[in-house]
Amino acid sequence: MNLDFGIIAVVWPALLKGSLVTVQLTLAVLICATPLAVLVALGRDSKIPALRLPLAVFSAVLRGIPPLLVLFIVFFGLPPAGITLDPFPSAVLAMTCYMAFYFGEVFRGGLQSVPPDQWRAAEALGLKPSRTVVRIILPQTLPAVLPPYISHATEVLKGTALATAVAVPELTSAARQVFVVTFRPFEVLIVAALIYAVLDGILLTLQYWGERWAARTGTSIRF
Amino acid sequence: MTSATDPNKKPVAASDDASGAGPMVAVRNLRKEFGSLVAVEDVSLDVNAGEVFAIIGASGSGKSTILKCINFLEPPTAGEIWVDGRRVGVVETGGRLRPARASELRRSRADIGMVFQSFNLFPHFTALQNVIEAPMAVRGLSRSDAIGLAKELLDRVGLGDKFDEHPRRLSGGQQQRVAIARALAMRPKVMLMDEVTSALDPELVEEVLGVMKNLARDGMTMLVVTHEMAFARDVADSVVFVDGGRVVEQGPPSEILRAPQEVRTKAFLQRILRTDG
Ligand SMILES: Nc1ncnc2c1ncn2[C@@H]1O[C@H](COP(=O)(O)OP(=O)(O)OP(=O)(O)O)[C@@H](O)[C@H]1O
Ligand SMILES: [Mg+2]
Repeated sequence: MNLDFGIIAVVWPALLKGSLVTVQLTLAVLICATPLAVLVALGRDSKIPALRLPLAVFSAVLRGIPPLLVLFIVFFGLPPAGITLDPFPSAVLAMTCYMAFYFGEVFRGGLQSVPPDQWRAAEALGLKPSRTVVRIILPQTLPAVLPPYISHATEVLKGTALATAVAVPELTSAARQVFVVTFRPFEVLIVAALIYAVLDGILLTLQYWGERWAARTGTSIRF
Repeated sequence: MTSATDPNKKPVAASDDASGAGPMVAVRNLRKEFGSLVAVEDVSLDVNAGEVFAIIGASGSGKSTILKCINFLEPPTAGEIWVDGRRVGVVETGGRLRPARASELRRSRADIGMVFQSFNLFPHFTALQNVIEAPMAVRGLSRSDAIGLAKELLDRVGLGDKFDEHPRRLSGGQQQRVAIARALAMRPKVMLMDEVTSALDPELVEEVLGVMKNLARDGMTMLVVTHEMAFARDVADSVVFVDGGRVVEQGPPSEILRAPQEVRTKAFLQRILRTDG
């Protein structure tokens, strides 16, 4: 095969635009799904059965459905019900719903790794539950949460490629459009893959920093 | 008992004189069940302001449960808790009693310091951060005021050089002293201390007991669950012996520890003294 990466000099603006959409979509999903996931995790282990049971069912069902199907439900299924969303918000909504439950399991494991006495101590001081979660409990879940969180975040990053199915102009879709007109699929896709690898690298760097922080403060040490 | 019918009336200690000041902490007919287990049964206690009140008893006798009921970490099954003349966990509105809301409970708890056997410091915070968190969040202190207060308290427990250490870099005795400072930072009306030296290596016990003695000398009202009989003898104003969730015997340490009347108290003290060597 006769490779010509010179083509990239021509098509890079399209790939860059696609990359930006991919980054935006990934960030939007992470920013929306993470707090929801904390709530899901708290609800899944709540004392209130009316909260716990539906969430358990929802979590099991939603995590068992192909993500593409969830995206189709939002994009094609909601308009007949009177809710019509553009491709990008559709993708954010679908992936947020889906990931809230995946991340929910991650945070659930993290919350269980914190000794119940930490809740007791905060309660005895008169701290509010919300402040207790944010300031006292969640930081301590970091060692348990970070590795699975980052690996799921990587799934989100890769999963944004599904949004091409509802015409979100993210990186994979941009790459396809470019190679269709340039007839250089291999070079273009290789470069797209490299861009994904760099973005993955950023996530892994975050994990590394987080683990360093946890080690420095001794959060990972149990008494 | 009048206090059972009139929720606004301060419970009056039997020993009270005409001055009319009620006890700082009053426990009335406290009962706590865990499922079918009765952990605490018909316990009534009066702790006057500035008093050190020691609770002794065998493992599983309900000592911790009594303390946790006082700040409603465990809501009592029945009975009344009064701190500084106010009901804890129950509010009267329009002549009717209702359970306190979460926010009202938090306000009560803010006035009741608690120190645990296992310290329970927040491991991701430094000593100073551990102490300033609740004054800022609950009392609304500014950060600089909270830091000033925390430094003063950490100084007072002998940790003036450990402000920026994380708990894992501190010894057990130092951690427990931070925990005491953390509770004191809320300016509590009473301190509940649950076997605060039991998890410590023997050589670290004294430094924590020393801090507790200073607190007692400064007039802090304290309920102390302890196996340290020398501390109870030297520092406590009253000692109560509990067994099977009930108060067996109560009085000044000179009576309870030196000349117990009840067979169960005698047996317990003998066992303790033997294991203490
Ligand atoms: N959350 C709980 N659920 C069920 N049972 C409990 C709970 N907490 C305490 N108990 C039971 O209540 C009884 C009293 O327990 P408590 O912890 O008050 O005893 P204690 O006197 O503090 O003992 P120790 O000296 O071992 O700390 C025990 O039988 C204990 O098993
Ligand atoms: Mg106990």
